[in-house]
Amino acid sequence: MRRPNDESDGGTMTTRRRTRRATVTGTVALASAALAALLPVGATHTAQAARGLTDEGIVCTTSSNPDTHEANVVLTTRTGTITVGDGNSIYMWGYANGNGAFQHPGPVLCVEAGDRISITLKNTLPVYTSIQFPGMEGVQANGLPVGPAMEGGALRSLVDDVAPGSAITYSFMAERPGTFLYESATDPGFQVQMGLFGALVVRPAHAATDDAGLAAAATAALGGDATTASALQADEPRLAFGGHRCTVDEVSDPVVDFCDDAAHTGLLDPATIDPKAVYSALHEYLLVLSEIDPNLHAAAERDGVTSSDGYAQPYKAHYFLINGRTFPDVLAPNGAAWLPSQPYGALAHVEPYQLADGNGLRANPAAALLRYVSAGVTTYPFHPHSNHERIISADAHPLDDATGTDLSEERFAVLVNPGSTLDATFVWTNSEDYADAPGQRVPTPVPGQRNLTEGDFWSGSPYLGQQTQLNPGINAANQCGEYYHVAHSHDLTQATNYGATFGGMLTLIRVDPGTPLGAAENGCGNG
Amino acid sequence: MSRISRRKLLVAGGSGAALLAATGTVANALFDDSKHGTAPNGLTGVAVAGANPVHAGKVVKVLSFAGTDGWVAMPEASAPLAPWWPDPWADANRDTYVFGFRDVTGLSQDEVTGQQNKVQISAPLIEVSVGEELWVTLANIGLKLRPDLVDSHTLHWHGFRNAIPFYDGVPETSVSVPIGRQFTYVFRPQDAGTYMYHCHFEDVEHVTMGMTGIVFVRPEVDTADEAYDADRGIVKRCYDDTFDTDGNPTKAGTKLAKDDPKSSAFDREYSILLTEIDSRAHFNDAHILLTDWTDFRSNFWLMNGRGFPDTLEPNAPFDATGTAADNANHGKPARRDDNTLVPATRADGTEVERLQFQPYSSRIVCNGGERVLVRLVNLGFQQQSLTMPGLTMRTVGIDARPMPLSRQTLSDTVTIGPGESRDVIIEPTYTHGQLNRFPFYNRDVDRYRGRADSSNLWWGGQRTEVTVLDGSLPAQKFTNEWDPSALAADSSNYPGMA
Repeated sequence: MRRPNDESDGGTMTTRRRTRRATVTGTVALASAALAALLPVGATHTAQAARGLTDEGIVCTTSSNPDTHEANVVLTTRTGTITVGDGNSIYMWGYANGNGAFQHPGPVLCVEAGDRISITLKNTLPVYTSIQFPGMEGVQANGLPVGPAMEGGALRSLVDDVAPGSAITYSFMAERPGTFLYESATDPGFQVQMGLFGALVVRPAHAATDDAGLAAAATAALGGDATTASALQADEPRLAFGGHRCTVDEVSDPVVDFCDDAAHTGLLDPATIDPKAVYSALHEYLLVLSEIDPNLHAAAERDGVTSSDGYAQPYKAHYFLINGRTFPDVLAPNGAAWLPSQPYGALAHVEPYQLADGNGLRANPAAALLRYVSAGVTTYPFHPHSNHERIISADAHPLDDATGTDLSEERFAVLVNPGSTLDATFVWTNSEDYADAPGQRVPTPVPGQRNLTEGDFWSGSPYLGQQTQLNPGINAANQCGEYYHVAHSHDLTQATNYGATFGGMLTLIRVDPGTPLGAAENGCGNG
Repeated sequence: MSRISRRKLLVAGGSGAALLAATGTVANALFDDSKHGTAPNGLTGVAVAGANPVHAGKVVKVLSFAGTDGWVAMPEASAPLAPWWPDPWADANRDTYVFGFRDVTGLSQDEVTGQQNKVQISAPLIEVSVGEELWVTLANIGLKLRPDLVDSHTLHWHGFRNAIPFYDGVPETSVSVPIGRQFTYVFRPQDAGTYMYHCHFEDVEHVTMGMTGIVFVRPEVDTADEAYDADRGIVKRCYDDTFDTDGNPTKAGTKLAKDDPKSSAFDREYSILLTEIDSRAHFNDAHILLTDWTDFRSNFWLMNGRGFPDTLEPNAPFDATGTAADNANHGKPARRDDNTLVPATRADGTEVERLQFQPYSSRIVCNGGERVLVRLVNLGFQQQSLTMPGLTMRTVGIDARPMPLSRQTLSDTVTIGPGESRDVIIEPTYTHGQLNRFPFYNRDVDRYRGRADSSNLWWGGQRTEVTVLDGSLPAQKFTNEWDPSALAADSSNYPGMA
């Protein structure tokens, strides 16, 4: 499933991971050097760097300028088609990056909290259109506060809109870290359904120099040891929210704390790190959930319908998507050449969670982060198999009460409501420690293969990291004995492609065997 | 996945596996394990039906399930939905084709295969305590009505933590059980709470066809706990009830007293599974037609596999013979001599034959002043809002996680989405001269009405009630159990109801 990253998009698509990796191996080598000695074997880091993880995880089309803290984006409305899991082709409207080609969903915009974002929308559609940014306050259009657009006494758009052939610029300050939806505010029942939406990810302002400090502080909060700290640092720890960075002023302020030490200026104050917000940048995923009524899209394509007024049929969705793809296309890498207008995959990929080093395996103390965004009109009851997820923030508000009491919750069904976003952390622990060794075998006899129906993603073995040949006729997709678990809408009618099961709003969570420290890659890489 | 193969089969006249199922000779194909040459325990039950075996120092709770098809009954006065409901091919007294599971623990191979077309909905209620192991062997005995349909089955344990694919029951990422074969699932529960299980093979179809059930985990057996019930060998709490000083649940914390207003201790417990039926899909599966699942539209909304007013009918009698040590069916719906189920039985001895394969009542019966735990699970496709006017529900758990003390909520309505679970506690009082009956129903008019006709506005939907007695109800012997004769004797009971 993991394929070399296709970078034939001319470099317009940058990724946070690639950017960060370059940084770590470059200018910030000094900061890592302090903790590098703690790494029992330095190979782990190198192995990760070699992976080029841009085929999984969040692909940021646009990031902010770290010096000016400004992000300037041009989005152009385009029409195009996407492919869904049963081979159907769906006509869509979408936001293209700059003057680029049609894509669905719109570009993933990534900025840091405190950045000023400016988004110029160029309208090539035959109708008015606009963008709204739910959760953002003080949004301006062409320099003035946004307001409804009226025509002949009737509402045309919820915010200032733009006529065909023109452009408008929205700008706002992204103050809160978290996950946001952006979408058309013009005839949304039609335009959002047609595909005019995307995700905006706001991460806490965070310098690469924070890695060591963040790892140390988070390790203290998580209760790990030095191995944990080095492993956490290798996993590129991030905070979904929170984390105060010491300023020069605090060196001499009356409050006695971490920031009193002038050497700590610019570093994160450990006391402000919320353990539940710690995640690994190598395991950060976006799940933009949406649905499609193919008849409406066919009417737009065939009959030139351009608004909800021109379409009288009752709404009935038959396709349910994650990041603009249905299963199994969600497993294809980001930017897959065979999905030219659907650049975002949705495979989540982890290693067994381990707070500390054990059994010769690398400690793996950082959780994965899943950012859910719903662009749909019904609640999606998303069910991750294999473990609960901890919902840590909703609509980019951390789940804490006014006194700081933790309100996060572990759920085995993550209900993503229309228009809302949720951030959730996920770990999978090898708690049963089943292995093909005396005393660790699964307690029941494993039936012979001819007595079982085997799945394409099955390794042929109950044990993590083991593989056998599957029955004839199985498209063996397993690479190295890794585990796969499904994660899907539990309105199971939505986990289909127009009614055909094992499709639609469904993806996989891949659990790789832990990589022995310093050992050569075992075929799974080092998640 | 098998859609095309089904059609091919019909054209070709059936494959070996299909013929096997059709001719009822699957028994001989069971247990054959070419790799290990050993037969797993379970299906015959004989070897394990006595005292539960011990594995790795833990008591192993051994169950054997069969997956097959059958016929069940929706409320009989519901308005027809021609041509789909009632299904003209249905067995006498019944009207809806289903898939499902039956508990066949202790039966011989021949007896197990004899249960083809004798499936129940909801699937058997499974309960296990932390510290025990659960071994469930699933035998796929084929579909009697659809020998062409060579679907495998699985058991997916929805919400079990840190699962491995081998025991998670997702066919595409693991293994599933073909017709004539069996597979044993193992679970070592660590966390008390209410979970669910269902077949994940062609999930949308097999789930809505009825292969859905509740599994819940009790706290570890602790004879020193004041909520320990020596007769039943269980701790009558939903969760551990141990909290740190901030009121957050932690296993090492201080245990709440049984009578603490925020404990999850209970006197009685009931579990209710919410599902939906689109009669067109059930008809299609019986009549070899295809369903567009994205066009799913429910017309019956069920609690424990029954629509109102069947929800109020008694349970099938529980098998109280012997003990769990010497009766493999102890505490489960009683079996007839032919190993099918004894139907729900009213106080006057009337067997409600229509409901033979829908053994679980949804009626919540208690004495005034008792604390009652209600475990709610939704395995339908819609989010539901259930309301209980006149009583207050205290939510002590969501998705098998205990609520922190500061966040137990009080409400008269609970909302529960597909794949979610809720644990709520009610403490009704009995007031002399009052009716002492409280409706518990779906807020949505369609979903409590189901296929009601103009003469009855409450027919076929998600509706039941809490019936409070004056102290005459004997102690609860099994989960969901209540004594119909105690109810019949209560003068506040109005006529026309069980």
